[in-house]
Amino acid sequence: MDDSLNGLGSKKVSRKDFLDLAVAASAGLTAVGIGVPILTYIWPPLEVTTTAGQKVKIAGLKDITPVKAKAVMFNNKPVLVINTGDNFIALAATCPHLGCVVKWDEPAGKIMCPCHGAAFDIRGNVLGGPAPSPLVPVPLTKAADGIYLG
Amino acid sequence: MSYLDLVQPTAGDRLAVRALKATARFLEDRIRLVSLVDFLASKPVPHDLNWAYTLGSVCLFLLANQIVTGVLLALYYRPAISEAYESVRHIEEEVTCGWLVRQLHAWGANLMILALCFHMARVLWYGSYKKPREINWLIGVGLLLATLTFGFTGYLLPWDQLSYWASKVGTEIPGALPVIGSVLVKVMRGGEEITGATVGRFYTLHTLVLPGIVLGLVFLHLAIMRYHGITALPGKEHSRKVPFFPHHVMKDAISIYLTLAVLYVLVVVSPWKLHEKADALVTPEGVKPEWYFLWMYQFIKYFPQQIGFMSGKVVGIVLSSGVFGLLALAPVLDFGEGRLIQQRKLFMSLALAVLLGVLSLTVLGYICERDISLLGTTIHFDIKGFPEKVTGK
Repeated sequence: MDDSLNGLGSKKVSRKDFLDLAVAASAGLTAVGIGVPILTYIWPPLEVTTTAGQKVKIAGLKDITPVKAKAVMFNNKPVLVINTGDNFIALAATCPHLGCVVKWDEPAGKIMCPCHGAAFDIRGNVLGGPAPSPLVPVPLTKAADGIYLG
Repeated sequence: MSYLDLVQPTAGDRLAVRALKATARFLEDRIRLVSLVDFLASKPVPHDLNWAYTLGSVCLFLLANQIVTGVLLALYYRPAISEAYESVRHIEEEVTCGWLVRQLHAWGANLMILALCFHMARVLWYGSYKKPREINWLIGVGLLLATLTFGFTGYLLPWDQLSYWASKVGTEIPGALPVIGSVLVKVMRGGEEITGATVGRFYTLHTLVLPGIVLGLVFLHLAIMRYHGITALPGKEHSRKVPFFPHHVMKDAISIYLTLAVLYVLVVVSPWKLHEKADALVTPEGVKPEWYFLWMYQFIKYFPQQIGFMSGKVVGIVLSSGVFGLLALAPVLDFGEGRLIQQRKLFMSLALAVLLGVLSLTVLGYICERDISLLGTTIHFDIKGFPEKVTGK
């Protein structure tokens, strides 16, 4: 048998050591018993988004004229829908830099962030400024009666 | 044993222990923290203190429970009448462990008032409020009043039928007082009726004002207690002293764990129900205040409409409030030096008479306007608690 294990096995546990351990174990168990419910309580309950997994109509085909944009909330997040002239594009409107909501700058033909000047092209690619990554595209469907997200 | 010795690292210490001790020494050198803990823990206490001496710590534990669960409830509770009830329902039904937190708060409040009463009864029984401890007794009476106000203001917040109507009746009572009555009711309610303004006021009192007052008073209470030391049992003033830690702390811990067990059993076996949402047009039957106000509520009922030039209700309110006055004046009324019961016969008889009166009124308050069935016989008790109609098999 391993010597160190042998040494541990034969070590005499004093009354004080045993009591110390018992008190520490009780205190630990109490802390866990109190801490776990508190942590689970603090954790926000599941957000109920009625539209999760569903397609949502956000505009009619003629509501957004060419090279104009519309900002909509989709599943509690802002989305920018742009009519490029030949098609529709939907991008998550949250700037990847620090979370401000970006705007379509029609005269400049760019998407701009009002906070720190990040600039994106019409497809969401970074043109300049502090944004570390492009804007994330959101699935969009063009149907006969309008534009759907999701 | 001193805690300062414990923070000196030894050769046998492991790295984690050495780091802990170094931190303790760092804090000791700057803010004398270890000396403070040492001062508090080495407080000499009589070795023969009984279990009744742990009731103060039980109150403190229940206060901690109220603070922790109260803060947690405030994360989801919304103090507006359009949302209050729904937010409590959300806590009960949707938030993980929400039911547990709410029930611990509701039952904790009741147990806290009960523990305070027992703690004060212990102090009264042993005459522990005698010189030099009169001021600490007064602080204790202040803490009782603040805790009762806590109970009263918290009761309205779930905004269900029971809480609404109990608060309505409760805030109506001071309205009988001459001159200041109507002003008092208006200030308490934030208007003529119980509305969203009342919820706002009660919520502010319950979560901002009262916690500040209670924590301040508790700090004073404990500081003065540490300064005077715990009173010995009457007649055993010269018994041997032992340090507070670990001797008395162990006893306190056992009482606190027992309280926690009782609290959990009550929470699981008999949870507080959330009734229907408050409706200002429908009064439910048999509206009564919480058990700790029942005796006052019942007492006022026995007074006639008019006594001489005064309203009977006012006389009832003044007399029942007098119980708190008597409690505050206990060190004055019980003026002798002796703390043994046989040296305080007159005062203790008065105290017992008042206690019996309060207990009987509480029982009468509970059974009035109720049908009580016992051994196949059903007795209906009228508004004053007298048996009215008996129906048997």
